[in-house]
Amino acid sequence: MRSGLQPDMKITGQEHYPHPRERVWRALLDPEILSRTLPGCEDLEQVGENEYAGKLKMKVGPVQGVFQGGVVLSDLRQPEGYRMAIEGKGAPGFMNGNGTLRLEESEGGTLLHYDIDAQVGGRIASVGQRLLDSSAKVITRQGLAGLGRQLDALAERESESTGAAPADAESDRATAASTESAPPRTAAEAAGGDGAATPRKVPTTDRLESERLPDAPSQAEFAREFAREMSKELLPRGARTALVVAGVLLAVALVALYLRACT
Amino acid sequence: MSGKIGSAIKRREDPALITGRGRYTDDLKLPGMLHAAIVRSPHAHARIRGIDIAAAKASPGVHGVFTAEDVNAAGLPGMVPVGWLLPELKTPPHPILASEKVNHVGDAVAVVVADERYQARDAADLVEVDYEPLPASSNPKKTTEGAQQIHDEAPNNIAFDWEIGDRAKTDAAFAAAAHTVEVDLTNNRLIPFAIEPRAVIADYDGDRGAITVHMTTQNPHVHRLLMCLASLGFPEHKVRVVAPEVGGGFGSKIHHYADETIVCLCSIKLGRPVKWTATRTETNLTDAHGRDHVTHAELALDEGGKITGLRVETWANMGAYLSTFAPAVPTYLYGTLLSGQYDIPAIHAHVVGTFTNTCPVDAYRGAGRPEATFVVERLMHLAGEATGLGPAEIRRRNFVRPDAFPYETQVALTYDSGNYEPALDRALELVGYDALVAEQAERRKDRTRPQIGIGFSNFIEACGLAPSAVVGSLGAQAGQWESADVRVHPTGTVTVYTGSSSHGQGHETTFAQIVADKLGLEVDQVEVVHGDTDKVQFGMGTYGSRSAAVGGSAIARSVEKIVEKSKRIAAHLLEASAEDIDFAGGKFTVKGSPESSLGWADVTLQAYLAHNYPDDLEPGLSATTFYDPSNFTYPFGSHICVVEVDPETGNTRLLQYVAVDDVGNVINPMIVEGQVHGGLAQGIGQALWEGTAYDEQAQLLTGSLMDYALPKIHNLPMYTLDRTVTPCPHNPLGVKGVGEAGAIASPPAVVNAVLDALQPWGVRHLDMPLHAEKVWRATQA
Repeated sequence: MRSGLQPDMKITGQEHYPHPRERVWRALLDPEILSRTLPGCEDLEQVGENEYAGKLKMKVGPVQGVFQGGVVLSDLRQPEGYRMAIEGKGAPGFMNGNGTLRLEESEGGTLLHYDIDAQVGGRIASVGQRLLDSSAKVITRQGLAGLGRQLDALAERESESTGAAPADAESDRATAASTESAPPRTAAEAAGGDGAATPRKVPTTDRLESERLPDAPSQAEFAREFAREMSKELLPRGARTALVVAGVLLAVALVALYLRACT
Repeated sequence: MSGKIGSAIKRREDPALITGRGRYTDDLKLPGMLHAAIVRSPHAHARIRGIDIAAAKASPGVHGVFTAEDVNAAGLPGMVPVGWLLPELKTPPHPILASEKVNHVGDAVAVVVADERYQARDAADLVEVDYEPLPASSNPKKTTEGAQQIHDEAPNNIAFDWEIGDRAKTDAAFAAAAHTVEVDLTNNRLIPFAIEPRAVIADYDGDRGAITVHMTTQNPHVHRLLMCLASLGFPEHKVRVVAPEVGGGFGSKIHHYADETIVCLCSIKLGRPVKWTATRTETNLTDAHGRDHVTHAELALDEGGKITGLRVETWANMGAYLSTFAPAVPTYLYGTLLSGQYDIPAIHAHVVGTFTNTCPVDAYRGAGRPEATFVVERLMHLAGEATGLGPAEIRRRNFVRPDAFPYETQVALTYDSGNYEPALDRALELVGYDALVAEQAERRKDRTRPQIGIGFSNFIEACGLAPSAVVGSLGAQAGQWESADVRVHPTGTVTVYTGSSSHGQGHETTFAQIVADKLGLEVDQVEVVHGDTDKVQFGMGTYGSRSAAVGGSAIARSVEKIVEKSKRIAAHLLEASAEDIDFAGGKFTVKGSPESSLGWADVTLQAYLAHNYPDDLEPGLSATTFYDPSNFTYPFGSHICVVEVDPETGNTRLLQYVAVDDVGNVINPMIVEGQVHGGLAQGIGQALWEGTAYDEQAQLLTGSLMDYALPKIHNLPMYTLDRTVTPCPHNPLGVKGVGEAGAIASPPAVVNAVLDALQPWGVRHLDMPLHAEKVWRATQA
């Protein structure tokens, strides 16, 4: 969307989910699911065809504030993936990015590939960059893990509604996440986190249904994860900025997909 | 002379400063004072499509939000000027608030004023600026190679293209050379990091049409002049600039920034005092940075290791705009210093100053001279290796001989004095060179052991800027003299009004020592006043190691005039002729009849009573001097750094640092040592740790102390300091200046030492900062 800007970082990765591709795609299109996947997203609205705007609350070390974000999706190939162009700005600075999400069938489930070129600027670059990497890793991991929990819950719902066992192979996961009081899995579980959920404004079509879904990771979980991340490793500089941005962009992208699913 | 000059008395300033009683700009609170926060661009390069201030204006406590429109509406010229012009220099406009385009991260676009500074900062976050980002550049060389145009006035982002020396003669020297060595290097960009961030309080008096500005400045009169001429546009007599205590500057508080005039605008618009204090991140983003050169340099030598030519090509980063003295730094303070301590028959230097989307670059402790010394001393190190002569002998063979002074270099300077070999000999002796070389040879037998490296740096600097006519002919838009108004009170105590404004140098001590020494007074009997345009008539300020050499000399001259007049009064009282009066130790005596004498205070009182007084003499006792030196001063020194580099970790440990400096006569040895210590710490910091990082999109990545490594006390060795004394022949005190010596000399000493330690790996050059990873990688190649 901005031909002049050369992205100065690149982040790629993949996450495996023991769910069929159709379910992952469906989850990525389910507003309720996506709203609970990521910390910090607020006030999302569609502003045009394949175009969305929203807010993302972020805290990277001493830099905190709200990014006003916009996302434009293109080249939608259901259920394979799409391209996205993202920009966000606010008191902490700005971020821009272009990337793709791609779903690939793999043994026992689905591989989610993410591939993003991104750039941050302003305060978040000049002050936060030392902490960007750790923040990015946490956001990315929490987002991906959150999606995993939501998929498990989705599998459970599907099995309940059909009155039969889930068709696919991860019934143990599904049962573990079968009620709303079930402990969160993976990253959030590791953090021992069940802190207060971040209040969020999202269009809710089915309140009852939504209350049965696991919550998005809380700010407290984020903080604990972040502290662990910082103590765990001191990374080389190179990838630092890229990771958080990727995490944030992935988050925004997922939210965008969700919004698209709303329409 | 009463021995006050040369005495290591403690700084009189310190008790207040170190107990927290110093009053800095941010400590001042004026009645009704509001607080400003400046809205700065997060983009390195962008067009401004619009600015929406509505939300900020409605924010709690906000009194006003101002943009470029308000600058025009208030009738201010609103431009930040350049104070040094070069031939064909491109001087694109630098508005105090950007309205069309921002050119670096931190460029100011709006200002918010509120009751409290935190309200102002919160509201500043609400100013909505619609940017259209443009491609940005940060590298001084790459910016000329097809990068996005930054200023229409400067094609290919070139601000100036400057050369000095004789290209043909130099090329011929290379064609005939027996040995040549070359190096491609960068001189890393540095953030000045004064402990006190920049701060301004503007207080507009609408009835008088006058404004008082308290601010962090090294040169209040220069600031006032530049503001009146270009940014604020007030008549000079309606502006008072005051420098309260100033907590360090290192050059960064010389320059006229947009910020001081932005704060003035706020006070004019609101009719109340307004304060702005930079945050640390604002400091990093907007205090003019230092260095940032990309250089290719070559040295030609004959069979015997005698230098025959030096060729230098440099791209100097000017940043997004030309800061106050920026064009002078990589030209007349750099190219002219490339002869170093050496007799070089042919030199040519070509410097391209370029615009990038980064914070402006200007003078920083040493300003051009560290960059020149780094080039010359890296080449000397390589030449010592290439000729097999070693670092000491190659230098010895090329020193300007002591009988060659005044020595005219090939790059426009005339060294007035110098004697370089004794300083080198003394440094070798102090460091224990022979034993070190033996130890080094032993360690080199086993490359897995930590290696010893010995680095030399023989530097020269041109200080005490300098004859006004000369700097004027080179493009300075200011004189380079200094003023001193010495007023003797009837009771004999003295107040000195100096144009040299202290920001940590200890003027109140050393300048009092000069007066006390010459008048036979105690230091306590002399008060030194500086840093206020309403108290001091005019002054050029403190930078370029000029305070003692120029400011101190002005005081000495005023004191001479006072002594001369007081002798005439004493002669009248003693009924002798003035030629027969001796003045020493605070006593006037008649030659040949020592019983006939008068005390200092007897004479000073009579100067004001004028009851019994020479007919042809005016009453009163004071003298003003505008001292314009006849040349720069040329301090020099010989530094040797010894390091231990661990190839396992790449870590560099400083084992010894020997600095033998020649700063001429010394007024206060303790202050001189303190200056050398501080300069060394900064130079060692540049060599090993400090580095300002911009990414490819010119985003500053070192906006805080988490990312920018300053030297800490535990990183530094105990220094071994000594001095030789070659007095300056042309100023009344014989002083040369010491403020920058350490920062100039130490980067090549440290880098040469580390590369000497890496000699077993055949590493010829590494760019600063030489942090452990870089060094370790070099040992893995």
